[in-house]
Amino acid sequence: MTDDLALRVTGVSRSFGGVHAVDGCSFTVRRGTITGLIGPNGAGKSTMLNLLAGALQPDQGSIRFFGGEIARLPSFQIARLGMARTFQLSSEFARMTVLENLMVAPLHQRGDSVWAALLGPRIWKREEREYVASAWSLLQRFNLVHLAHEYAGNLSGGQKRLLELARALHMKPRLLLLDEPMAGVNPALISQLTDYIAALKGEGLTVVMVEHEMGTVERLCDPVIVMAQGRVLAEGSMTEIRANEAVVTAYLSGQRV
Amino acid sequence: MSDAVAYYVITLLVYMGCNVMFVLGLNLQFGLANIINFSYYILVAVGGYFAGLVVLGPPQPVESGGTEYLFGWTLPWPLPVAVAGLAGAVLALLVGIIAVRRLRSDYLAVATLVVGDVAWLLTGNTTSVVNGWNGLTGIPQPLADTLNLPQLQYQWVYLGIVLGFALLSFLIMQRLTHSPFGRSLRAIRENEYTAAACGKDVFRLRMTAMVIGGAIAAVGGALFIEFIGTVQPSMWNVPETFVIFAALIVGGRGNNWGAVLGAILVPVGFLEGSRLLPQDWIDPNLIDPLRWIIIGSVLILVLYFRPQGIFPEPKRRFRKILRQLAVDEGPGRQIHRRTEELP
Repeated sequence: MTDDLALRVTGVSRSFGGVHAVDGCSFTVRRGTITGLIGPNGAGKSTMLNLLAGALQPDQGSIRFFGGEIARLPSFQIARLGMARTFQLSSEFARMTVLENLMVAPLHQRGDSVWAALLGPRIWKREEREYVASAWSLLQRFNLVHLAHEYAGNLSGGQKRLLELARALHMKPRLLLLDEPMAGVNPALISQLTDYIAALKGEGLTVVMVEHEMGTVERLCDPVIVMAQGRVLAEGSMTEIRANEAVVTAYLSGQRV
Repeated sequence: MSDAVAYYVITLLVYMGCNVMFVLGLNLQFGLANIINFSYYILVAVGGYFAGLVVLGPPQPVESGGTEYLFGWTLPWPLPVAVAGLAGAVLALLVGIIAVRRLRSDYLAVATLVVGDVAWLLTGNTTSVVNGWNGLTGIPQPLADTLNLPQLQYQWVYLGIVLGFALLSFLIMQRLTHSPFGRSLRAIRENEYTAAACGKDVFRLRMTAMVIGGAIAAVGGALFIEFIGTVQPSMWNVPETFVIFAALIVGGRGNNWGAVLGAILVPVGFLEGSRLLPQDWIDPNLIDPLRWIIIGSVLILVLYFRPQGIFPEPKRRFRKILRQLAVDEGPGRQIHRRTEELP
């Protein structure tokens, strides 16, 4: 059932010096799911996400994205294939407005080429209008309209999270990688973000998220992949994971294996 | 206006036009793409050298009192300017491959400083390439024979050419800055990892900024050299790069109007203006160091009190498109206005 897979990760490893951050990981992500990636600190979740997005290159192994090998591609090429991501730490374009932050995102913009830029707005004006319209509707969806012309660097932590998500969505991705989207977000906004992400699933988007906030994982993610010490420890629904003794020992109870 | 005053005014304006081009080129590299290129002056210099090398005619052997250099062609104007622009683009490409490819911006600054110094020392110490420290002299005035004008009139025409090129550079820069291409460069400036995650080819975009900025700088250098008729390594070194950086920072990084203003204020205003200091007040030997002290102090003051420069980078509001889309900007618009009015 290869057709059903958004991601197939096979035997991926990456070490930093002597630390095997990711050590022979294999798993798959089915289309249209919200797959959670959980595990104790240092389990290799964020490294895995960076390997998927091309921010890091694996030492060995294969990553197939909708059937195509991406393991050694640079991040911008992976992004162009339809993989969007958010970062663990805020990574907004600080001295650009919120609206402009979104305008950076659309892939394959005509005006991105230097020749189109030199030939003038005639070439890219029409496209630009479409992007402003779609950016505006994202701002409405995420309640950011009143901040459209504010510099992104002036936003609060939670607002930056929303902006990250909106920017990633403006790329019209096939797969969305979220790196701890709830970190540093207040409870009210967590439930709001949870609703947004659940709605994305309804729109047919595939989501992979690293998250520590177990309530969110419980509500959103099926299946859940548990990582520990660079390896995949278990895979399954949250109910199955809870029943898994190894997982409970490694992660949920906080004890070492 | 007496002839002497006219000559002085023309010199000042030619100087200004060339500096506008220097600062505009740096605005693309540093203002938009955040490439801290401390070897910027070698891009200006290579333009000047090539503009000389392709018009000077065959070199004479040193034994008979001549000078040695490469090429020694006699290309008709404006080809020398085109060659200079190309040379600037190629050199910027080489510097970019060395420095931009893998280095973070602070390391990049150090690397370009070294590249610039190496290039400068090579130029000075190898006499057979561009006649070493003595440089090239007697570079003929472009089109002088064709136009066949009295000297003062010719100078006015030349000033027109320089200002034309400066205007062209400005228009090119405006198009690049206010396009999705310019937006991508600014995104890279703000956060290159996020920009890459948005599908931007960071290296390619930065190299494009390097190359176009290098070409603008070199064309400016060529026009300057053709005006004064001589080029030596001593004309451009690290301090000259800092003057251009200072001009851009004072005028307003990322804003082409700021680049123009900075070029008028810093290299022309402060450097040339200090010539006008009354000599009986100050020891003439102090004037040169005093200029550098003034420029340094102005830079520090601007960075302290107005780090965004006199003309800050404008906010893009997409006013026209938003009006066409007739979207409801809601009450936020007023709230936003109020926050902007805060000091």
